[in-house]
Amino acid sequence: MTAALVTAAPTSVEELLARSGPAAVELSGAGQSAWNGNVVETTGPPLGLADWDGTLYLGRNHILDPLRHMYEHAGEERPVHVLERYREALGTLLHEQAHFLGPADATQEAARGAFTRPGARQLEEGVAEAWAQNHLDEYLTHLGLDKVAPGIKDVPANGYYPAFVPAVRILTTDVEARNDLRPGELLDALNSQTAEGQFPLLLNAVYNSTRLPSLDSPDQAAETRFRLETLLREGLAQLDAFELLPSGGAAAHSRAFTGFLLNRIHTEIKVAESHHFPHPDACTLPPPTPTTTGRLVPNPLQTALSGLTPPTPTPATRAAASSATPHPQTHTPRSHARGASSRTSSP
Amino acid sequence: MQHEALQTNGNTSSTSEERQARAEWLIAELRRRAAACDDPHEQANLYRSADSLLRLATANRP
Repeated sequence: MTAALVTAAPTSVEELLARSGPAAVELSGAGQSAWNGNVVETTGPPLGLADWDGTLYLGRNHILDPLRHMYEHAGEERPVHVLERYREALGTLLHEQAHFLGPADATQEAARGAFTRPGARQLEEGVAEAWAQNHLDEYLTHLGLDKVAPGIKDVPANGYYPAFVPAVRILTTDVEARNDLRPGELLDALNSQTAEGQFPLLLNAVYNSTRLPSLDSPDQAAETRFRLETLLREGLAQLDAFELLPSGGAAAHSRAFTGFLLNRIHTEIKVAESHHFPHPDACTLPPPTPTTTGRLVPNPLQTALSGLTPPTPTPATRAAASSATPHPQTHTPRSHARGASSRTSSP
Repeated sequence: MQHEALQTNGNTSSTSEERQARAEWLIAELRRRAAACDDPHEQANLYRSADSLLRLATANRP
């Protein structure tokens, strides 16, 4: 039996919140959560925030009131728009809990420092949201919420961070395919890291998806990794520009931009690999292949013998040919057989 | 779309003070837009983006 089955489902918002952190750890397989168990209810912004001291901030209007309503009407049928509000609130709860996840030895101090580096916020937000979207139904089942709000797993959820989620999905899908990983495997692994470990993990996955690890010297590896990291960080940092756009436009720009970024990364990899397989010097091209016209030019022997009548075999040579080749029509090559036939019919 | 202009010396070369100032400006701008937004999902989306930048601004503080 799993832990989800032996532990009673939460019956109140307070119980749900208390279970929300451990459930995220169990679902993700992460080593730990930095959540300190405290929840602060906000009446204005922030709507949802995983603070660096381990405190979870949740907005009353968007998160906690919908969840209170959900338990007040536990087990009842509710309209789709109400279920959508519950689902979005729970998606935010799982997203914020994902921010607290990390390896057993991770510290929030190191995570906080890494989060300020270019591209780190975009990567972490995109990973937390994409992962939360992927695993929300499991989370709901794990916490028994499909019984509290019947139909909650059947309503659509739009999710948030449209400037970052498409980028993270495109990047991780590409790298997973290049490393023969199962779909979602890299995303899951990134989600189990803090900001401190996310970029090194992504960079390793990108670098190891190439032929370079078996070709590069340590210095070459360091240089290539630096160039790839710079491309990734500066590319992801530029997704900021799409945050002010409406969701649809932000997602479209994120997808298009990430396609461009991937091309840049693939080009960088090809250039680095080409250093190990140098092309011929352009100044010493191989000799040109003979043209059709050239092949038609007769060689000097053909020219010297042109116009002469082909030699006629003498009787001695005919006898020798006959004894050496008893069945010329059957055993000689086609062209020779034709010649032999014409010769045997001549007087 | 102007994606061709992938900057290679953009955000990494700015100072932490510049990034902090930009983050705080963006938080204010996102919240202003959220407050004026009629669509509940878009409004929440804008608030969530502002929250993320608040997390960054907090991380940047000494």
